[in-house]
Amino acid sequence: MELLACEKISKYFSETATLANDRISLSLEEGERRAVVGENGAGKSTLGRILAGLAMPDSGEIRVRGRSIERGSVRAAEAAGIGFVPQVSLLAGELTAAENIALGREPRAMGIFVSRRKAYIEAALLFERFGLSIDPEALVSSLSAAERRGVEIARALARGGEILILDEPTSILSEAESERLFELLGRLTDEGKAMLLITHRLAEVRRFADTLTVLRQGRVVADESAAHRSEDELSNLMAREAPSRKAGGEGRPRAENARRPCAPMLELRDVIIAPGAKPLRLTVNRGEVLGVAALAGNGLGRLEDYASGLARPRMGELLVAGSHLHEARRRKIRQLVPGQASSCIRFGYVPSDREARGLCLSASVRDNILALRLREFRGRDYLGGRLRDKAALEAALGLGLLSEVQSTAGSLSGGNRQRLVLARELGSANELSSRARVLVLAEPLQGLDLAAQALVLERIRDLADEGAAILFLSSNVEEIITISDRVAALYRGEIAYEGPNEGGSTAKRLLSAMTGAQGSAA
Amino acid sequence: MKSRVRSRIVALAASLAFAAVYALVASSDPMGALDAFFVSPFASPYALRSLLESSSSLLCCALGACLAFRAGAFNLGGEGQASIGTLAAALVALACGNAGLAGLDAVAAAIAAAAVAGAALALLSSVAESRAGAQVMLTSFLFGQAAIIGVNWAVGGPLKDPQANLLGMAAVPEGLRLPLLAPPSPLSLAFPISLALAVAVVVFTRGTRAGVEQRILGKNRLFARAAGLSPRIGTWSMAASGALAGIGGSLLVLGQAGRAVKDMTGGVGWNGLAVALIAGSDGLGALPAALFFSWLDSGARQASILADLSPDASAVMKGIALFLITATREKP
Repeated sequence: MELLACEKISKYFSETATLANDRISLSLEEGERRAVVGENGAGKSTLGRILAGLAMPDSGEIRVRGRSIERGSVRAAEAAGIGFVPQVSLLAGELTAAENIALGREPRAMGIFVSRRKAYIEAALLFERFGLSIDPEALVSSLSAAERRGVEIARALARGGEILILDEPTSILSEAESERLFELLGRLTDEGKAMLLITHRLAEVRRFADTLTVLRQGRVVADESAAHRSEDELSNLMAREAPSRKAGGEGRPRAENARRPCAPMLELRDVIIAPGAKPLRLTVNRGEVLGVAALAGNGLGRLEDYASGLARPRMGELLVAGSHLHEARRRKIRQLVPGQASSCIRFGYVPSDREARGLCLSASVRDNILALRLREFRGRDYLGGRLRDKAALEAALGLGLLSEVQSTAGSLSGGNRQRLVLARELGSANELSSRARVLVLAEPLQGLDLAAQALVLERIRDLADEGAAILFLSSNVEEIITISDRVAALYRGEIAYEGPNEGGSTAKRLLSAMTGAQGSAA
Repeated sequence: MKSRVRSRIVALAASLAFAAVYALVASSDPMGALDAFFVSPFASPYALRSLLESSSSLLCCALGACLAFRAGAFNLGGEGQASIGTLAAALVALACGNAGLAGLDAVAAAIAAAAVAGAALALLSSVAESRAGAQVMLTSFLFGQAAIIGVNWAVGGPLKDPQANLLGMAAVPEGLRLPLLAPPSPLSLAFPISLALAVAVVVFTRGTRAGVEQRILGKNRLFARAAGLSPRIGTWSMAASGALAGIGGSLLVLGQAGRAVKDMTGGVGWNGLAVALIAGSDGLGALPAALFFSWLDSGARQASILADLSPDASAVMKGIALFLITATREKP
């Protein structure tokens, strides 16, 4: 039986002059698992938000069990049984898991007072039913990314969700966590619930979906059974133009590294990442990529804070090009000063928390792109803005970010936000002085489609070949193996493995080290 | 952008509609009250000029609030900073008078002293934040209230003019006041000064690097830090905010009143906050918003003199305008 159907949904964003959804129709049966795939900016998230009532379509109809529902109303969507798990968490960090689940529809005691006890019981039952080991009393801010996802799914289901729309649910999850998530989702569809999985990871389509809708530039270009096509065919369908996939895939030849002299550019000395953990030492040399892999909750975030200089470790220190990185020096090497010698160190940082650290969402795309290059412009450039518009546009085009530079960064889709941050931090390909010499990249490929990932990996490789020292932090072993010269695994705040990248065998070692299966440091 | 302007105009119109309804209901001579309220502030060049004059110090305080808001600092001490500005301006003007100095140089010195005093008071909050992590919103309010109490005590106590029959300091000598532009109307140099400051604020916020840095800092502090922007622009914004409020206070002393008296600021700092909120922290919007507030004030005053309406009506209308504007949330 048909649970959810939408017909000819269209949505135009005047701010960015894009037709995000162009007469999209799809349907969802009971127990069906449908994947919606497409490149960044193909309109996937917009469609999800429209179906969930978070955005108002310009035209089109949404039906649940054959009955048309009010559009643009979360309440109507929830009442009809549509649950939504957004790409970026919308949970309140300062409330407990149980409170988040009950939020807006709190159970009452004696008809008036909010009953914490009932909310707690409800949450505990939900978690148990779905096999989640989460404490309902825990503050959401203290939960791991995977646990937060679990809370969001429970929250969506608690609202009577017969239909679950998940927008890139695995984007912040490790592989093992993703696997557990798909197991949970599988069980739910066995109960007859329908799933709409928005993703750009084709492996997930293979793993999970029965049916498939492919979007390209807001339009449905394929609607079929998932088993129908190979991954290559799909990525060709999704791509705007013929995709270039030069980089990625196999690891690169290692021989060329041997000639380079070892010159430590980024060093963490005796830093303690987690309480009780052994002090950690990491060195990134000139011209190399050091990939550090870890599962959520093992200190990768802390390592990022220290390596980027945003937090000062209580013990130990951070050295950049051999000297201590204090606040004023960090500011100096972050901001690009015109006329500076090209040998001067530039420090690039792509944060994993893109929205809080990587972008100023309510400022323009232009100001975001040029945030490190403010000194390059003079008074009259600021008054008119033309020259800055031009520079911003050039930088944006460098990584395939097509957007109006005047619109706010918040109006960009997740993938395009990531492109913006990368465009700024990696610097322009043609301008030597703007290139970073020391880079800390945390989950730099998050939210990017395959073509863009390949492009970014290629740029990172080029930077390393030109002599940059790059610390690449990721929970995805495949990414680490593709790009790194040396690799390390973090487990419970300690280095569980460190060694050269030798491809497949290294991947296995990394995986077992980061899951704590094998504690031997090489 | 356009929709923001539109929603603000609708809110202002709604508060005027309230004024009209209020006049019709509360007055025994509704037409006379309406006329007094809406028309009389514009009825003569004299009335118009005094409207402009009374908006000048409000505009200064509003500009100060704009600068602080843009940098993400909720400076709630505008009233106290204006208040300390009145004292500083009066002290310097009187000292100049005693030393036999007069003319625009001396007036400028008095205004500068007020700016320094206001800035110093605001900087206390910045220091408390950077040293001890105290919230600017709280400390600026508390420092401001303390300053008001201190200024009132000084003006009505040790610094009181014994000859005068009011709680205030001695009158500022004629040559040390802001020159009148169109006597006999009270329009003085205060208005052009506040206009010039508005232009300066607009140029700074829209057309300088520091303006961009300020906006980024105000919107996302963590991002500003990650991008290596100096937090110093926040401190400077706070200082400039206090300085502008101080100047607002000095214009009161050196303009129409001609002396510093107890409770002189009369809410100009608080109204400045409201004007900045209505203007969306934009210097360009602050001018019409400040004029609007002054119009409501003088309209209510006129209506209470010429008709039988309460002068408090303007406070209610300001409240309505502020409520409607701050309640309009931009839809995603």
